[in-house]
Amino acid sequence: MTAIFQHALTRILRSGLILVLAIAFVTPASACSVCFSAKEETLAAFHFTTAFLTVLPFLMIGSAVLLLRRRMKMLANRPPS
Amino acid sequence: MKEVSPDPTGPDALPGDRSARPSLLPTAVTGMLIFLTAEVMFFAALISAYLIVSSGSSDWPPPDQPRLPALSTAFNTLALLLSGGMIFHANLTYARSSGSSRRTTRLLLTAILLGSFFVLFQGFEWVRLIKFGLTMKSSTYGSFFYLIIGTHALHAVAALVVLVLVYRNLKRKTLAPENFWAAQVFWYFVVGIWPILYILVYLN
Repeated sequence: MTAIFQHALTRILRSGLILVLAIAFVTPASACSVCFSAKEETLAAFHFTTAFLTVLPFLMIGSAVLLLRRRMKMLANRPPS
Repeated sequence: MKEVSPDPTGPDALPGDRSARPSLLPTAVTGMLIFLTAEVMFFAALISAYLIVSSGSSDWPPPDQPRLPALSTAFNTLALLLSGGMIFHANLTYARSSGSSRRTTRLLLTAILLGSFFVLFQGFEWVRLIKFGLTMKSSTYGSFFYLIIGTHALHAVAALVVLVLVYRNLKRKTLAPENFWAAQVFWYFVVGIWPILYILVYLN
């Protein structure tokens, strides 16, 4: 039990040391094409298209839900044949 | 032998027995809507890529590339929109006459002819553009043009094939209403997405 605990502790300390070294001795690459594009127009296009592609599926699913609700009401109000 | 109750919620109903319960949407229409949802996202991705690439260029369209025939394509757009209107009216007459109207057949045929004119005219314009030097390899502008407009043309051709099959079944009086509805949804998608592509690609 002590050996297993010591082994786990060694692994945690080693991972922690690697993490500290990774944070302390690296610099950001600033390579994200959305955040660091040279032109304002391209940045604006990225932001717009990201928002557009995010909202579109919700719009379509919402429309489908509305359509199904209307059909449900229509079928519920239809007199029994 | 005990008779099975038609009520799916009754004590004798078989599991999965939906015969007494009307479905909210016919299966054909549900399948078509799922397919078109995926296609809408596909076109949205193409449009997004086009917007980003065009915004990153200092000159768009590139000065050494031929200009797109916006005016003649506007006329073609009207033909496509008119075909959408024809399909809408065909649906109205179909519903009123319970599927046995010559007017429905004529309206559907007119819509098919207008749609075919649209596709053929687009093809004619493409041949002229290729002769003038706008190809998929000539520039990014050319690649995007043929990719986006070509994808729409593929959908238009597929929708026309579906409409022709619907027309054939209508003439034989074997058309199921849900199949007509599904075909309409497909054609409305082709007609509805075209003005967006026209404004973005031809008028940009």
